[in-house]
Amino acid sequence: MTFSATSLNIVRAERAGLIQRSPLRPKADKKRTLLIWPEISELLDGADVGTGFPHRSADALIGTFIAGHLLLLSQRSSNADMEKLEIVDEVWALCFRAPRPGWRLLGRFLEPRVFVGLRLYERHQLGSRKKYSAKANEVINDWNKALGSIPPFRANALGTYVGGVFRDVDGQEED
Amino acid sequence: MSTGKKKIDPAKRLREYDRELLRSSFVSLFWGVISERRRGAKFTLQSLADRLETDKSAVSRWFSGKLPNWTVDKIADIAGVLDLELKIEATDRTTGMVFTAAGPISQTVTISRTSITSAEPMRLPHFTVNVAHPEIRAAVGAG
Repeated sequence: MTFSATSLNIVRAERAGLIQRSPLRPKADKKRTLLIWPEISELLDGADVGTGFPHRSADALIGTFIAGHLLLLSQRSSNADMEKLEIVDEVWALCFRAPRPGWRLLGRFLEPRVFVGLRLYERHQLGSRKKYSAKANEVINDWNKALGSIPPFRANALGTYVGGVFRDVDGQEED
Repeated sequence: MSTGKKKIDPAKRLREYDRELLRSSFVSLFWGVISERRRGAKFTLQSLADRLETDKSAVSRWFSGKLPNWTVDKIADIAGVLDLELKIEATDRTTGMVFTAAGPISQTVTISRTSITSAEPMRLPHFTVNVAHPEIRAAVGAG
């Protein structure tokens, strides 16, 4: 039997106006949850022709995320599906390599497997590391406004955040 | 940046999505197995590459972002080297019926209201139960 429950934190996030992004082919047995603002969801669906969305690569990354499929994780590589920013408190980027020049959905984990994407930036907008952290701090402000006292999820291992299948590309331990 | 809504061909978008997710399913499936093997025993990408008669960098690339468009033969080879038996099944999105290469494995049972007598007419003239679970099959006599 499949039992699906929505956590209290997700309900709170939805009350704040965030929505659960569905993959193009919704399935009952989703393994991860992606919460975003409706405006970002519309952008991903092509609300602004200049962005290049929708794009098959971005659609696939969202589908892959929600299905619990392999995600490449990193704290220092720009060549990952999700990057945990080292210099900011619990801020992650979901990295869309396409459409060009690439986009970053910055946000935080509400719970294991539940990512809240609060701001979508074109890669060029983020620029240098310093500028990146300034934008990331905006995410923290957004989080506090939307979710108040709910702390972001914290863990030691990158895989604990996303669950499902993942590869920590910082490790690269295999030979 | 120009503005305005982009013209989208929904069928094309869905087709591309289905392709990417199927590729992702195989890559993720195999990486899940490889990760598990690496935890318990000495298992390396190099050993996998050797058994597939390819180089390690090619194997590493498969699991490094850009989803490979493997042939069925390649999928069979990787599954073989990992000693995996793949199970293939397909679900009809409309009916829920599940198919394998040996035919359908779920059964649709229709219960008609004509078998029910009641002074109060039922609101639903009939309903359909898609039965897959053995206990439900037994309960409704679909054995």
